[in-house]
Amino acid sequence: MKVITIKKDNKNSPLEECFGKAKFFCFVHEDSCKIEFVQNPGKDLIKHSGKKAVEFLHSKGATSVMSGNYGITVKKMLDRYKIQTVIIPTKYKNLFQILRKLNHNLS
Amino acid sequence: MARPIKQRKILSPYSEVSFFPGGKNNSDADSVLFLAEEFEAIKLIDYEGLNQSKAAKLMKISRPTFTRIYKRARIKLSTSLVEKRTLKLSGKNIYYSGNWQKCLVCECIYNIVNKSNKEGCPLCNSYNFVNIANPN
Repeated sequence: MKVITIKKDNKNSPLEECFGKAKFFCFVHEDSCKIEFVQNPGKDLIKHSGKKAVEFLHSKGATSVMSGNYGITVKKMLDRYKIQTVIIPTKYKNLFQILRKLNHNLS
Repeated sequence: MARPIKQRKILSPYSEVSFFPGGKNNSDADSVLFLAEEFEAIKLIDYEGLNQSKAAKLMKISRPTFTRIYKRARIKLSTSLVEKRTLKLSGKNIYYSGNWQKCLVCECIYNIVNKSNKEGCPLCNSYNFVNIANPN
């Protein structure tokens, strides 16, 4: 399962640059070709929001995360859990563009 | 002969190469050249909130060297802000922590989790990539 960090829970949502501070995650289930919007449980935390988010994604079975920037602790945790880190260039403005790149069924 | 400059360790690659003031793109001569090590120093101290000795350890350099890099970074950053000049990132004398690749099709940067498993780009599935673990 691939995870994309976003600001709103819809397909036209802008992407979130900072992994831990993302309001929502978009789960892309490659097997069933379905997408799912899930709230980040650590979004309102002042400290360790990234840590909470990684633990949550690990429990959900994420294999790859896509965001703009990762903190030191987050990067270490992702490596430990063997979750692939993807840095998306800023030329991709919203989730729709990413899903199109992933050749995902948007219907 | 002087000792060659030791390579600095960068934790994660950066996707952008330039920052423009108000969307204005200055000529190359007017832009401020911001080294990757200076970018990393600002990130570790001001963004991550680490102290200088911890940040120096992460970059695998001595604390006095880190202080010099950080001081230089702040001068360049303030020059760019005050004089409204483009900040151009350059990656010299650095190496990245981990095995990173850059897709030449979609330009995304990703790390290799399973070395034996040869997979394409996680975003566009392309096999057209370059290894950027050591960009020198």
